[in-house]
Amino acid sequence: MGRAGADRRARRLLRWYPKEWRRRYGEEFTQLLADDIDARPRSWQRTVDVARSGLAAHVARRHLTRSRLAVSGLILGAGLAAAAILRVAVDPKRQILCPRNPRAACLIVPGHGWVNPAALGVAMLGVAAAAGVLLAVVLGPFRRRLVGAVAIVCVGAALVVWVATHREVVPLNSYDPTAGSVAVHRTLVWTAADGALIGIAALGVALAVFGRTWQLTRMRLAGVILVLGLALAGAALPHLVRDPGEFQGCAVRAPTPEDCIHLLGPRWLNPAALALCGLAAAGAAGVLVTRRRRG
Amino acid sequence: MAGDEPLARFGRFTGPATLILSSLAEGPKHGWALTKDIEAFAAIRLAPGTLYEALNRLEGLGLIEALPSDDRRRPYQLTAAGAAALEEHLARQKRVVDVGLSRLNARGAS
Repeated sequence: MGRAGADRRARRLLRWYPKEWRRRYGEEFTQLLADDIDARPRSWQRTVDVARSGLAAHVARRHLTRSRLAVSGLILGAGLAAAAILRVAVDPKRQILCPRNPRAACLIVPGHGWVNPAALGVAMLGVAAAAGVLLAVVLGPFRRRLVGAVAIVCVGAALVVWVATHREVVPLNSYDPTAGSVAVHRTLVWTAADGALIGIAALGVALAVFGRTWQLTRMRLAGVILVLGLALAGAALPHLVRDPGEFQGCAVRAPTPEDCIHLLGPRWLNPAALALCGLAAAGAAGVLVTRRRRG
Repeated sequence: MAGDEPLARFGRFTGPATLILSSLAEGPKHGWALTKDIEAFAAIRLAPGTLYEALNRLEGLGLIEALPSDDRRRPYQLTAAGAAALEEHLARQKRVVDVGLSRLNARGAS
């Protein structure tokens, strides 16, 4: 590699550091990096070391407090814990009896056979939210807005993936679901309480994190934890307590009740889910009010 | 006490800081020269990010200082405080080394 190429790569690596740091050490550090790149053209350890050191410089400059780190840790932990709960609670290959026809067997059909979609979706939500929180702290106001938008899109994408791959219970008694019937069922699942709860959680996190002022009050921290915890608990609970045959998608094509597709979604008007929704909404409203008062 | 020693405040950077100060004890050096020298005498290659993180801290504590330079390679030199801190730290390390070696020798003899 030529010297110009090494210099270009060194300058790219320098972007990991905050502006003040670059002003003081930029030139000499670029020179050192270029020398190092000349000696070892390919080194992932160098990239990791520079990235880690650059983030550490950002953190040192911003006086990242323990509470801020705790928020991202909690969000990540809650997401992963919820994913783990779902993973244990839901067996995608389990066969159950169709509630309306005890003699027939039903099969829970996941969106993808190789991964638990609910666990994937919640894990993605947790990771995206945690990454968003961390980056929002580390980056400046302009980039923070950009990262905020990206994080919200990530959360939205996670929600879409999660809902689109929601499980359905398909009876095994020779029923052949059409593309249309599957689309109808998925549309119905879109409005399920799980999706609403996760959406509220995403909103709560976004409101708490991407405000104009980054003053993490106890109230705001409590709000975030409340919203997120309730939402994730709400998303997990229906998987543990619901009746898989509670709702039937018989409108499309089903000559007899035994041939209905049973949606494996939360109960409609499930009081527990509704209560959790209400509490989560209250938490989100609390976060919003706190932010406005401070703003 | 170890806490009174300036280098003890470096936490996980105590190792890199000791290597840098030891290298600068020979005379002023810039980043790349430090990397090569440390690699030669300690068989440790300090990654660029780690090196400058330690340089930044050492400079902040006044243990090293930057020298003016005409090109992009800026040399650093040991200050009097840096020399004293290094001496104290190495003396402490030497006591640990001596005790460890003597105990190993006694164990081998018995």
